[in-house]
Amino acid sequence: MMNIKKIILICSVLLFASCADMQDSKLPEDNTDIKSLFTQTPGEELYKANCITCHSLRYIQMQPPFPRKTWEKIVDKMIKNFGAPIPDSSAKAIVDYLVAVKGKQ
Amino acid sequence: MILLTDRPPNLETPLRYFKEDLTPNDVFFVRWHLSGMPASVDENTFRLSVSGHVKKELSLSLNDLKTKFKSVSLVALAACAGNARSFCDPRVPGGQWKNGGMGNARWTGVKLKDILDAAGVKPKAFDVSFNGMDEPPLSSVPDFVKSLRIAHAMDGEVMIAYEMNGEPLPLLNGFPLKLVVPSWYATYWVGMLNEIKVYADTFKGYWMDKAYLVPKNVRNGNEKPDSLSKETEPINKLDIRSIFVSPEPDAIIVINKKCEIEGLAFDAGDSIVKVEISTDGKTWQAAQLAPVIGKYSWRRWKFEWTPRVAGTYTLRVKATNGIGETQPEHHWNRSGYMRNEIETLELKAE
Repeated sequence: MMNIKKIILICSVLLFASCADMQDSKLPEDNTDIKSLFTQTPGEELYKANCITCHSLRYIQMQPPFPRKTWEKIVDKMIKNFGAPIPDSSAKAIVDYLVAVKGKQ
Repeated sequence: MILLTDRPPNLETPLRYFKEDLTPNDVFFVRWHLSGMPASVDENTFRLSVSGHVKKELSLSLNDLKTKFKSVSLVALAACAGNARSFCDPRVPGGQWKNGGMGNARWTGVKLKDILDAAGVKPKAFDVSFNGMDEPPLSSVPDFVKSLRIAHAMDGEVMIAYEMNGEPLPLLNGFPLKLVVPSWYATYWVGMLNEIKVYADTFKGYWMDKAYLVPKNVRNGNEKPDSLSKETEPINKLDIRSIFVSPEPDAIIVINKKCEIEGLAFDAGDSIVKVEISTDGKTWQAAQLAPVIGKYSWRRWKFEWTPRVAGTYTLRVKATNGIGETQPEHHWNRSGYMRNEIETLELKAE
């Protein structure tokens, strides 16, 4: 187990975003396959450009599906509260991306 | 461990490790907010600073802490504010913890009071802040700093730990120093602690003023999605809770054979006096409580049960403490903090 902790730390420090091969069999049910988050849409590129400076894609992978309104609030919080330097135009496309991969009516 | 996120690292303890009194260091839950964290800490050059509204500023080495101050030790439960968030209905954003965002450990270190006394807190001190070596990845991101009122910081129980279960803290659990705030949610248990500041007035910071807030003066921090509390306050003491540990959800058990159910119960230090189990959704029976480990530790319980008929059972568990507090039928708030709804466990008997 110590090894897993060490590996995670190395991942975190080296900014590796994909550690999918370390998944425990008991992952939360919402932990969708990371490949489904690779949409090759403009929003995904903006996500990568703006969001992974602070946190990996797993922050999205871990979430259950949320309505657009919730994703808008989350992106707004990242900008206003957490100081993410994201222009309004990009924020909209990022929300579109989040709704596409983790959206819900 | 269960990987929630890799950067910053957030890891959950699988339920099976909760069958032990103390949670092993190698599988103890990990919670970091900021990805700018050091990959190593040099214990020879590390210093803990104490500054602000004090008579004498301090810069303490690990050796100073271990040799110049009295060592104290206690068992305490560290429970993440958002533990069990993934069970909230409706779901809420945030770390999607199941029940493994907590752990029980023996912490060894020095009393925060002794450190503050050595620095000489000036009259009218009001708040004390705690900052770790983890840093925001961008200068626009608020640094993770928490604070306690001076009376709390000086209560002789809040501690600066350099050992966890008899060993140095693992790096991911806050090596070399972690603030231990018994009976308070683990958001205050700042890891890689290297900066303490005393203030003559209220400490202001994002992580106290805007994050980790719960409905004000509401038991268990409960609220409804369609009528959110207008007023909020910083999260503080643990509320009372009990969980099932074994069998794990959806386990298949055997009819006419004794099944040993076990779990944990905990609160903010008013002592768990009763744990009750329901196997029929109507009546409650007392579980057998294990000996008390410590005031701020969890308490284990066991319940023997023999299902007589095949089928699906929904078991429930609730705890009561020494001041009569028990758990609510339903629990929810917008942030998924302090969840302590009466737990259910689905089992199939064949």
